Amino acid sequence: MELNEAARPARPTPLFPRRGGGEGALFGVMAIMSFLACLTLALALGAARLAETWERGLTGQATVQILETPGIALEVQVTAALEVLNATPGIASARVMSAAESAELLKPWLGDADLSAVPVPALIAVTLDPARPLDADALRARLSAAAPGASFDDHSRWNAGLTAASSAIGWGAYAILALIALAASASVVFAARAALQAHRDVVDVLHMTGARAAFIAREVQWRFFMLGGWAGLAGLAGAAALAGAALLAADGPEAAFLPMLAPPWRDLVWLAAVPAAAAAIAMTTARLAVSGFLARTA
Amino acid sequence: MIRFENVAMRYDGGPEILRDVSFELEPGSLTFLTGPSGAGKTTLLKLVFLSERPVRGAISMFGKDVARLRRGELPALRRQIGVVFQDFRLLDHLTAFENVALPLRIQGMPERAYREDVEEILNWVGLGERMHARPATLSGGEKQRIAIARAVVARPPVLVADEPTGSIDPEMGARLMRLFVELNKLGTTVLIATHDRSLVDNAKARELRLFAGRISQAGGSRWS
Repeated sequence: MELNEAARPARPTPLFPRRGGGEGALFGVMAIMSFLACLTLALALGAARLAETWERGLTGQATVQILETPGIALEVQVTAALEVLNATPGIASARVMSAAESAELLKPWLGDADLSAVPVPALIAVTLDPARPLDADALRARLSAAAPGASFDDHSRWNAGLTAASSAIGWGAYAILALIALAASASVVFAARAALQAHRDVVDVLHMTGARAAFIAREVQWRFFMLGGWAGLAGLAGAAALAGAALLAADGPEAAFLPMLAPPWRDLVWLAAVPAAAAAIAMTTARLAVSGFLARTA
Repeated sequence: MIRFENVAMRYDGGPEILRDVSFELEPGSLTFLTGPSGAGKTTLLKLVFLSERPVRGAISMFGKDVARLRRGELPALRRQIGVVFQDFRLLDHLTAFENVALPLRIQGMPERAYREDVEEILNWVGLGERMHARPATLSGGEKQRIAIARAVVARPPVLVADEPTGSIDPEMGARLMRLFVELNKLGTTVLIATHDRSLVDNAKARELRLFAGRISQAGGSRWS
């Protein structure tokens, strides 16, 4: 009897055999899908983070450009504009840029040309107060009244373009994720049907002994839940290995321009959701496929 | 308990395998279904354990008209009928214990709730020492006894067996027959399909004879 107890399986054997149902192939497909999903999700999160970085950098700054106007000295306009800016709520500071700084800004376009003969506009660098909103239209009106040659640029043109671009990348990535989920679901449907066909003898015996369709579906769905979860983890591990290798290759300040290569912790939480999603998709789809199969064969 | 009235059966538009079959199984009865190979015994049993539905006639089981049963009602009715298949239909990847426990497991019972019952019934069929063996390592007679144990472990009111002694020696056949008689004495309605005349003659029970899809009676039956 002692030998008998030693031979007892530690836990009840699953009712569907592990072999012969084509689950190895499904594991491979699901792992690849999860790998691609991790990379796509990292792209979406990276694009959102990049846009955020750009926006933060640009929205904190603005520029006032003052052109020479007949009848009014440039210096008079600069002084008047500074007075208006310093009196405007939402502006933290305003600083007149020196001729040397202006020349430095024009250098990429004009090279080392002598600028003394060119009417170079005066520039005022404005730092915005993030705690207080600025009424840009009212400021423009007051600047025009005080200094007719002044124009205020808060970089919103750039912001709109960058936000639209990053938003397009983000939505594109989410669309790809949806397609990956759809393809994974289709693979699970085929695999679940194939598994039931391969183990038709088991299904028949379960039916004959009075098993309800829900019981059989439950037996199958947990198998696919575990398979999806492990495949998702394998995909995540692959993506992590790739990201690690890319980080090592791009070790240096250049990595700052590739934010998807250095994800912050909160992004890693989202990536950890990929195996959970793979498990949930596998389980739900398998249950639906099995229920449909049994409804036709019971 | 189970009543067939003018039942006919054919597969996919083929010839009629059963025609005008009428009989009734009373509660607690022991009945043999005999006839040559191809007479339709297995098909009739499939109708009894709700694996097939007739093309004509009426089958009533436990007071319910089978034709009116919804799909969702089938499992509850099938649990009332223990089946011993001719080819055993054991699940090869499960142990003998797990095969026998299957009807209880599918009812959602945890193993600790049925372990004693299953071990007791395995001892009853003489396989207590082999309960953790898998079917591939068991002889034909041992598989047959596992199949019988599985059919009766949930104590169904009806037991149906298809050629239960077909693949074992006469001595083991007689031993299995004693198991069926014992179950019958405990109140189980037993229907055994066999072409083994010695089993029928020794048991002196009611006999339904099937020939070319039609049924006749022997042994003082109550069929109509």
